[in-house]
Amino acid sequence: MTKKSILKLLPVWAAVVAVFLIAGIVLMSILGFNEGAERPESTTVDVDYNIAVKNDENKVARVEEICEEVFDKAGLTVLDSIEGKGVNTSQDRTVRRYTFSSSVTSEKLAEVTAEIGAKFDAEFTDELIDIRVDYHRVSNLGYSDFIWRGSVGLAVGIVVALIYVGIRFGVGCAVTGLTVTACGGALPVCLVAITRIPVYASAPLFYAALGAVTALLLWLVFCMKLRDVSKNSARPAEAEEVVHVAWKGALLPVAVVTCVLAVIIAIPGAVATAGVRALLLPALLSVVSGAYPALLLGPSLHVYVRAHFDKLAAKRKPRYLGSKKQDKATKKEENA
Amino acid sequence: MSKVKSAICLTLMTILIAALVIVCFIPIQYGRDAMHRFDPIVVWADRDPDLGTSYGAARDEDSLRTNYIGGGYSAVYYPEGVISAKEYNDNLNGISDPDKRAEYADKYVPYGDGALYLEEEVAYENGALSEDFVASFESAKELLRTRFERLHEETRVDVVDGLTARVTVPRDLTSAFTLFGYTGDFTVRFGSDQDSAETVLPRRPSESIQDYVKGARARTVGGNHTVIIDFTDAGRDVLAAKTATVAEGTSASYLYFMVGDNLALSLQVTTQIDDTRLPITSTSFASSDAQMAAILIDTAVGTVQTDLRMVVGDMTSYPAFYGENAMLYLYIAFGVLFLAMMVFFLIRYKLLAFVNLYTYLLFVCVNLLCIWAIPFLTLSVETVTAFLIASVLLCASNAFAFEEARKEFEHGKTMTSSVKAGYKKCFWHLFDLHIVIALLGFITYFIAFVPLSGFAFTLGLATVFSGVFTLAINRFNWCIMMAYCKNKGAFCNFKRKEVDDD
Repeated sequence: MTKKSILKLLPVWAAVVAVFLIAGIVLMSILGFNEGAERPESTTVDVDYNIAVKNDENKVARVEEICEEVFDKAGLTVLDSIEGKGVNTSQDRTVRRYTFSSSVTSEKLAEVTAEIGAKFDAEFTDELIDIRVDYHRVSNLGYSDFIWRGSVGLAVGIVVALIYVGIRFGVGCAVTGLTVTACGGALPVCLVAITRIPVYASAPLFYAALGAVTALLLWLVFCMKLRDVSKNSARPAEAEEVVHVAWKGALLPVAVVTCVLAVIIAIPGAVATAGVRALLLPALLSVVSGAYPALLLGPSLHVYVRAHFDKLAAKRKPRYLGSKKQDKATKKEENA
Repeated sequence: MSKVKSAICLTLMTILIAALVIVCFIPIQYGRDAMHRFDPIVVWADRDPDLGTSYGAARDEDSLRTNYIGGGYSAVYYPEGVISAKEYNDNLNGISDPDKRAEYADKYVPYGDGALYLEEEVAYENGALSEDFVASFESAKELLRTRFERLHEETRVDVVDGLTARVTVPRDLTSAFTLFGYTGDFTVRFGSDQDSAETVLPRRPSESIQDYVKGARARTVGGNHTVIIDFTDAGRDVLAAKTATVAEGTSASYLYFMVGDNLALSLQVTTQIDDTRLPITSTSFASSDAQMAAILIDTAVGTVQTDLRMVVGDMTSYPAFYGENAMLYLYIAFGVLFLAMMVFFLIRYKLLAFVNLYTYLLFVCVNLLCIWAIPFLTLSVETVTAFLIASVLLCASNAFAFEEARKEFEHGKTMTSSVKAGYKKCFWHLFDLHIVIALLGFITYFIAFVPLSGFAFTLGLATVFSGVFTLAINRFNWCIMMAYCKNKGAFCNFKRKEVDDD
């Protein structure tokens, strides 16, 4: 397959995008995102102890050991365990919260809670020690309007940026750029919905922004190459030819920028705590999603867009250029 | 530029960069205790609570235990008539009289999994959970969510055991827990003390407060944090009539802004109030205090209302979400990327890498100073990502300019004219690239909320700096560094193209 023919495969590139977008939107509307990192539904076992336990490291370790033993025995997987400290309370209390899946039944939780309680009673006989165990069922209310407002902000930002692209590079580049950037923003969100990667509630918006920025950046590189090619070509060339030459020229810088962006996301993602990794590693999807439309879909589409705008320009009456510019154009034609 | 001028400029530039790097990154201990230590900007810059670690005044080992060092605070709200099983058992065990004990036990019904106990009289109707009670809880829950999300977008509200709400805020905003638990109608009272004050708005209990009060907002003008309450014309007329006596000096009075039976804000009235806009300020107001009071009043005037009293349970603090060392790992990642950048530039451009290094160090310091100085910016994963993207833009732009100059040099031009021609060729490319990304960043920032707004603003700002630094500072650095070199081509690792004479 020649490189030129790659630009002729617009239906294929568009179909790939359409498949991901449709699947993503359907999954998003039916199942939403896998906000596993945010834990929208969960059950917890809270172990609450006073200062008599807290001040003795061995006792704290034993409390945790007993809990883990009981959970293991009951076949419960601890998803998360955090320690909270009481604020503004007369007693200096500490809460160790163990989080489990929402599918754990209340009976099971009651059973483990009772067993932990019994073990504590047997082991910690000191009167000063006060340990309580209880369990809860938790459901998150979710976030309300900041995701929508963020999406609107991003959309307006893209449109304003593309107005500038329209002024500098032509309306055709802006129109294709809008498609490219919209795909770059929407694809990572859909991919996150399809792959069911556990994400934080606000993360899809961040991925969308990152995808849009990547797509816009790479599209600009292509537009610049396109402008250079158009300027340097001696005769009015076919849209396909111009786009192909520009695409060929932009291939290396676009690939390099994509790789560098992927590296700057991957390295902090790899050298990071689990929480940061959970946010940054799925962001690699944004880089890929931004590069795909800028590299394949955009140039293929631009062949048709440019041809259309060229036709419109040909229909338009020639403008008065002024004698100097006219002379320059004539000379250029003669040289050609 | 002459050699002397270059030497002066290079020395000054080096001193400037060294000073900025020290101020931004290097802590200096000049005594034995914490009082004699210079903390760099990177320590003082605000950090995202999720990243944890100490900063600012909380940095000292001794104060780490008491001061806020990242993470979140949470509190459970119990609706009136609902108590935890813990509280129920404590109360029951505290009653020694068997009759009273039985009476207390009869009063409450276990709910759900037994984690909650409900007062039968309040929450039950004909042996079943009252629909009104459930509806009131739903409204109260929504009210809490609205209030907390307006205070901090990353607030998390969980429903625990079906009938309690647990709110987690990612900053030290614990005073909001009590204040935002206030429910009930918003009223304005006027008098000399809170208990005897007369309700002036609404004038009649049958009227809606929305006929008199539009809402409230917080503003900061000249360092003063102010709550502004907006009245309708009818509201202004009532207040003007009521406070007219104050102007005549007949009595010294206060306006009490109440939510239910709780005081949200008070104002000593010294002159007649005859304006639809009432600013209330106090020297003791922190920014968050004004914001909280404004949100409380604004939501109390709003459409979602409930009379169900929400009682705040024990508050708990939790460690930073991303773990204590998250920031340290981000620094390590930045170090790795910085090293990779230097290696690439040294291999490809030899000593010209130091031109890029000078520009990049200035760029890093300026961005860090902005994050520190701009109040709403914090060091977070999002802002660091935006900064890294802008860093790529800067380094790619520098490399692009170097490559353009290399092409010119290959064709036989002198180094000075190669640099000039190279920059001339790439100027508009770089200008367009930066302006478009900056536009996208700033426009998104103006509309979006946190955390996207932090990412967008940092991207916009860092892109502007990247543009200025690559087009102006980098060229200047190149000019002053190259002035001494005899073999300028070797300095930049540029080579002439060999031309076949034939």
